[in-house]
Amino acid sequence: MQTTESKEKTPLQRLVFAIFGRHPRLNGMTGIGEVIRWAILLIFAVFFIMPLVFLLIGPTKPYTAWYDRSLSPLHIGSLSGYVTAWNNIAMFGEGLIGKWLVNSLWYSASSVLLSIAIAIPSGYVLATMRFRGRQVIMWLTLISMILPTSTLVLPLFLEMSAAHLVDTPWSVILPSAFYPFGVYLAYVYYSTSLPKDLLMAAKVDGCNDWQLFWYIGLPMGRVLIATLGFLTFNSAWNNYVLPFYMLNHKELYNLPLGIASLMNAQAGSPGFLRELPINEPEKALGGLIMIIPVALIFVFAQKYIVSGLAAGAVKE
Amino acid sequence: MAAKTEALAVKATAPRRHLRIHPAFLFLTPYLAAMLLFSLGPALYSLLISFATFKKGVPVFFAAGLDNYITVFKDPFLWPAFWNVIKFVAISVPFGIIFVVFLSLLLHARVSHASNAFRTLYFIPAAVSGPALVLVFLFTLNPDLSVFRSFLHMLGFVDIKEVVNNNYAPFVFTLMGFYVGAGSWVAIFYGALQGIPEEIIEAAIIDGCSPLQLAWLIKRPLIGRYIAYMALNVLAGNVQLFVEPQLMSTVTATISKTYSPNLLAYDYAFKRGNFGAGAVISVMMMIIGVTLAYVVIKSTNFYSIEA
Repeated sequence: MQTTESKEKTPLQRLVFAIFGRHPRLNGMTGIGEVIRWAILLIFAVFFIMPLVFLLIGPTKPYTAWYDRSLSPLHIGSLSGYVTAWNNIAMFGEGLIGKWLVNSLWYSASSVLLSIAIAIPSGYVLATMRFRGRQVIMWLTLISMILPTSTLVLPLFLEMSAAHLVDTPWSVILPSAFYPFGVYLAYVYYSTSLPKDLLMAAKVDGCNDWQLFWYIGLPMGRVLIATLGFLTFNSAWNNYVLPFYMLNHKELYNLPLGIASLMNAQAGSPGFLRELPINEPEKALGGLIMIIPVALIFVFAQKYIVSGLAAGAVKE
Repeated sequence: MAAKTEALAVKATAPRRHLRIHPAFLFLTPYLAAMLLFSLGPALYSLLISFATFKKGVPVFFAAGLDNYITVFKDPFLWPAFWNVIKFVAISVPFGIIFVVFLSLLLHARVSHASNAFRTLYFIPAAVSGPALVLVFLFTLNPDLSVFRSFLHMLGFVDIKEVVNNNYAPFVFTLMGFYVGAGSWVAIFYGALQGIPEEIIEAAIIDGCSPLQLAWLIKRPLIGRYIAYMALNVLAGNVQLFVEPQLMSTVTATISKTYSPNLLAYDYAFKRGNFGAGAVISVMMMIIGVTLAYVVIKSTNFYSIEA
């Protein structure tokens, strides 16, 4: 049967089968198929990973080596290059990088706490209670969850400016209180994993709504809190659009805004800034400082994050 | 027992007798306040601003009439900005779907530790965003120093200006979006493929289904709704393009400063000091965004409102 199956196919078709085939016994070109399949997967792996490997070895060599055609792009300099690059970045604006790091940390921490504290009870209530206005709230949540930040950022700026909050940390932190994706995730989580009978039983035993949430909903939401923690930290740490509109003073910048100003250090700045040793190695190091914390979280918490992303999609 | 039923009876009637607000709103108040302050409020405020003039930075409401709208619609940069986004979306959505589905089917063809390792590798760039992403691509697309420089030379590029410019921008932004997003989408599609019951696949094989037929006739329709979901989500996100052209235009100067509508809105507000006209574009982009979001929710039944 196997042979008749593959006899009817042209060699090209058989090759394609061999590459995609889940059951190798069905065709005779398993070997080649497997080689090609691996080759394609490896090419994509190179595309996704090599730019980051390149970034990682970037600070080890002086910028002249970056442009040296006689050296391989993957030529590794010495680890002391990292120290030099860091010292050069630290000279930028007399230690601005330290301020950016501290700002990023506390902006992100406040945003994470604020958005989780508001999203979880809201999602819980939307999943467990039926009341007037629920449909409207669900629709507004879904629509604003799909709408990207860049749509609303100018209106938000105009509002913050009317409230005289522009160029303060509050203009960056407060808007994170509205986190519709978190509300939706919490809603999906509670409507799939919280047994209705448990709530009913507790209600019969005399628990009020608040006690139901505090003693049953919240303790059951540990995985949810972890997932939301990862996702909100990621978006707060990488937040660029909002601070870009809101913040003017370099001392108030977070890391992404700071990195962006490092990238422009040569291109658009007045003459005296050009004397600063901000070149490719320094920029690469800046990018790494921004990427590495999130990348580490992603590798170790991939399951949680993907389940979170998929929960936005999958509802079975 | 009697006390219990009594308590229940009291519980059931008490809220109705004393206050008419459902207890759910006690939990929802902070969220609704935040929604009003940071989403609905700004949206309505910008609608108001779009009819206002500014005197020394202070809005004079309804003073402009339709002037701001006329200014924007007569702007020679408006149509190019929309055209740029249309080109970007027309390329990035099919490109993303084709390669994500391709990679997912390829990874799922033989499930092993290796395919899990590949999935993790593909997922790592999800950690790169905003300025870091632009930085990575300014390095990667620069024929002088790129890690793929021999490949770029092979294609005939010698200078970054030949790669990063208005003509190639839709491809560059497509590549950037794919670089960051593909891993998450592959993970979602892979999960969907694993959700296909083994019996269906076994039955198909017994019925004489070839591996390609299996991928195309059995697996693809079962992940079809995921394809629609991805297409619409990527579309809704990419229409609002802002960060990539904004950063690239300040660094390389070969990308237009008003590349996308959102960038044009920024340009009006902060470069030309015309907040009213900026608000006009914001209102337009909000209408487009909300419409797309509505289509996403309605046409894919991924988002359920009833538990």
